[in-house]
Amino acid sequence: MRNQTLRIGIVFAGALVCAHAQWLNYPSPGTPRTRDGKPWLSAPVPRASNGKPDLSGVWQIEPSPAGEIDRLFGGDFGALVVPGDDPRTFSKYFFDILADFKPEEAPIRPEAAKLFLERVQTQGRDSTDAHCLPLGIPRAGLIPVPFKIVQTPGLIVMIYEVDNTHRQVYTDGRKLPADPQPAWLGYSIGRWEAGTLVVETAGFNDKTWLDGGGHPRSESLHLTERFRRRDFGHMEVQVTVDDPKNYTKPFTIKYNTLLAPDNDVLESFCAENEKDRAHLGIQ
Amino acid sequence: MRACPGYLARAVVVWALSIPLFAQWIHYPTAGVPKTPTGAADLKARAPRTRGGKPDLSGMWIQRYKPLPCPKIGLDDNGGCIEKDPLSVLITNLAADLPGGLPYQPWAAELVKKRTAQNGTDDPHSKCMPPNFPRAYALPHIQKFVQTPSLLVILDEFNASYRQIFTDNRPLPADPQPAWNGYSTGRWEGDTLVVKTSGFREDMWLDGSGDFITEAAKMTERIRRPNYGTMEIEITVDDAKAYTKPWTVKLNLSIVLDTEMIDEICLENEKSMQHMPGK
Repeated sequence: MRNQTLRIGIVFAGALVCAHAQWLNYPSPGTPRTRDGKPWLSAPVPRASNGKPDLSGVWQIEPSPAGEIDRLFGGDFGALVVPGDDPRTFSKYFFDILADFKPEEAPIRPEAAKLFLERVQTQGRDSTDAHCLPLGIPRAGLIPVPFKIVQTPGLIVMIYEVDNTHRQVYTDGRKLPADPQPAWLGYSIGRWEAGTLVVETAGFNDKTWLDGGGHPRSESLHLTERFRRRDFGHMEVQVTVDDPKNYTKPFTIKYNTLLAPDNDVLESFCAENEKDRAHLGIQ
Repeated sequence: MRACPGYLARAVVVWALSIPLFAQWIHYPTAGVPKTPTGAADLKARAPRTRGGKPDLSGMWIQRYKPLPCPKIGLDDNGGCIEKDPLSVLITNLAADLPGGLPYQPWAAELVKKRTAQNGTDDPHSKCMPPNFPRAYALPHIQKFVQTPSLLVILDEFNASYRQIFTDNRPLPADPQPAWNGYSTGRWEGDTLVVKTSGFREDMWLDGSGDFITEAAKMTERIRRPNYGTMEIEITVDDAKAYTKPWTVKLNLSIVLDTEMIDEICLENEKSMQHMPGK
């Protein structure tokens, strides 16, 4: 049963992120613009040299609608706001990847549910980001911090401002390895289905969480992500989580990412001048 | 070349930090490798070109210059070295080949001397901080260059990190946010990519001995791929705060084939820092 303390715990656990540095405002070349010079975000999808949709750009997950975080997690999270870091502007999935399910209907195995509750009750003290370790996938795409897609014909690179990490998606026709080295960001291959990039990822380690609340992931996790750029400024993302060790059946979340025009990913290094852990009771 | 026992001590520490990388390699054949008549990779073949006619720097690269001896803890049961890509002398002295050494101002020379005597105990890299450039060129981690017409991204195994070099003709910003890798723009001069960088953070270490550049530094890299297997990088640093004159070093990187990079997250199960008290 999720009482209000637990709900606030979910958000608190998820909110252990650093404030972001100021932006660069260099007008991105190739951005279609309206007559007044503003980026034309409903312009058609750009195409790569091989005719595929070009997903390249700086993206960030769309916030949940105003008031939804307070309503879903039952509290006034204005009290947790620090400059540059307002939990009310996050996506609900960053806090709780099972937010669409009623608690009693969530497809989670009892052991995983128990672990999740422990993590919420300890307010995310053992979260990887509290230890300056990577958020990993899918969490790095759920946090409202920009990431950049760099698309080439055989390889799509995603570089994240959070943790300053990169991820490679091979689109050269290779298969997933049979027994990949477990990794924070997994091993990803991509293919095009009509205008949608379908990315399959396996080879995860079990060291990080699916969300800020603490839903676990295991080495058996297999992710399927579907990226469809709807127009110049909007991309729909579907993530299907298949982790039979922790969940009774695969489940899917859908969210939008918004282009951050004339913007970029900046350096962000958690371990630099790190003073928080001592206050969290972490050695 | 300067000699200091601290170099090797530091080298062993860095070497030990790099071990988990070699647990399991991914084997995947690199596409488009030119071959000799015997079927081996022809590393002397011409460098590939992009559709736009520029040299294509894309590929995985690593530093193999002047390997240091294999430390005792790195020997396998047969006396061979576990590490297949031994550390380069450049990790301890990026300017190892520069006659007369780096032209420090007295205060800076004093600082480096102190750091070297302390075995580099304050080295940010030992504390899992970023593999900042140009230092990253000397470290034993694969770097993957991903070249597009408007952007060159360098992915680094260490902390699964990256650096961006903008090649879309933008100017360097007048007052960039200070960064470990600064802010880099590149343009082609013939077959050479000329990269200019400013906006460094203060006190960016260049190697394990504590050589460094300051926030006043402006760096120019001239990057060429003279053949399929080699990348040449000529680095000129103009940093009037720490040096008496600009200086230039040349580095080579070697192509890495038929494998992939693996995340190496330095802080994962990190137990080394407590054993690095220095002197």
